[in-house]
Amino acid sequence: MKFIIFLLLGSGLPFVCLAQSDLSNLFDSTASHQPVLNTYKGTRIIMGHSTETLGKHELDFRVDHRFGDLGGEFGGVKTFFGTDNSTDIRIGLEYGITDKLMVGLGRSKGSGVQSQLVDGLVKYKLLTQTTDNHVPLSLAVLGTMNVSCMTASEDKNSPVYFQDGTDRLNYVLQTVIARKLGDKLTLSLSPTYVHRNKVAYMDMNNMFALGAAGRLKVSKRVGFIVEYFYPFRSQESKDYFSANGIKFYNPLGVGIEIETGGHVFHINFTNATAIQESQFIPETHASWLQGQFRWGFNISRRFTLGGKKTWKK
Amino acid sequence: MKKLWILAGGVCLYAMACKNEQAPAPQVKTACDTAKIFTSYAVAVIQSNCTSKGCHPGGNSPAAANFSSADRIKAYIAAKPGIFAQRVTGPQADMPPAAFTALSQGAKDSLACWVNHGMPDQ
Repeated sequence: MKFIIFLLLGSGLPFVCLAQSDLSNLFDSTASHQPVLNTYKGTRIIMGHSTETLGKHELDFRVDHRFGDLGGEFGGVKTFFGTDNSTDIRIGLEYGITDKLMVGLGRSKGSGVQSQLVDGLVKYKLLTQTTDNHVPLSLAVLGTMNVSCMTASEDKNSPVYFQDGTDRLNYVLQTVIARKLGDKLTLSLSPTYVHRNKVAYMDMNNMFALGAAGRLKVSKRVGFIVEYFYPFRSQESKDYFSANGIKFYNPLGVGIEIETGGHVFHINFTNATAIQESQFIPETHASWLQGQFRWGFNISRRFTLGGKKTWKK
Repeated sequence: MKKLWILAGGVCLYAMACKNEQAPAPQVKTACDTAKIFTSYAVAVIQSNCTSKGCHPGGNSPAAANFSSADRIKAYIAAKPGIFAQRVTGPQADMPPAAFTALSQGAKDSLACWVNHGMPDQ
């Protein structure tokens, strides 16, 4: 436990250390305390959230999709490299209440023990990195909750045998710490806490994970992104599931981020089958090395609400 | 201040529904749970290893443990299930005596399973 706390606290240290160096010449603006823009292009990196929030009165319609295994037993030509299957799909609406506070509501298929998930999220951007290094990093706090709407199992030993509604709830609390190093490179860390109200025997209700991500901008509109999560699953739990033929893998995603006007496309490859943090962090069973990775995309279309009023003024 | 109260209320609601529940350990199925062992098999094993040797009885003692027919085998086991388990199917079983071929572990397990299932005829 102490180790985890130290790790979470320590996760911000590299950024603080970087802040000591004078990087102001890397940024275009010379005005003091100017915010660094576009740390990431969207509110998501690949699987997890970025430090970005929607602007005030901005509505974001999102469609996230993960296909089936590209290779391995269930991939290859017979499923047209996974495109015949979809492991998870999320459709959501997100809204910026202020420039720093956003909320969202979504419905996803779910790809874990629980399925048919309705989720809600709140994200608040606490810190915004400034060009003069007055604030050396950006920091956002995210809270999500989802509820499974699936039919409950009749088997009392099943993790989806729901005795009451609270058995269906899952929570995630995440801090995203990012620093843009120059115009092209962004690095971030995401200490994450996942709580699931009901889990399978020997699974963990509470789990810490540490995410790490990076983005390398290769042109004005295109960037390469990579994201990885390390879930801190207990050895006892790993051993139990391993003895029953179930292995857990750490989610890893790589992708391309393309911005075209109001759209942000993410084309990515991940071993994670699920979209929700409460599922892909503790329940990724697919391995890159066994060809069990998939391509997916996140499409985001933003609309500005109340624009007419602003125009009239 | 109003926003703060709304936020605090939201956090409380969020936390109130939290609980830690784990599904019970899955029931491990044994071979006996799915095996179908009937009286005809049990009688054949008992008579070929016990009665055919001149005991239980085909002829000699112990008359109390008379395994000459299916009904008598069932009646004995129903009356003394502990003794049958201890001496025939259990880990310390001493029947058949050392002079005769011992029951295989599979035969012991099958007999125990048949008894546990209530000695079904079919």
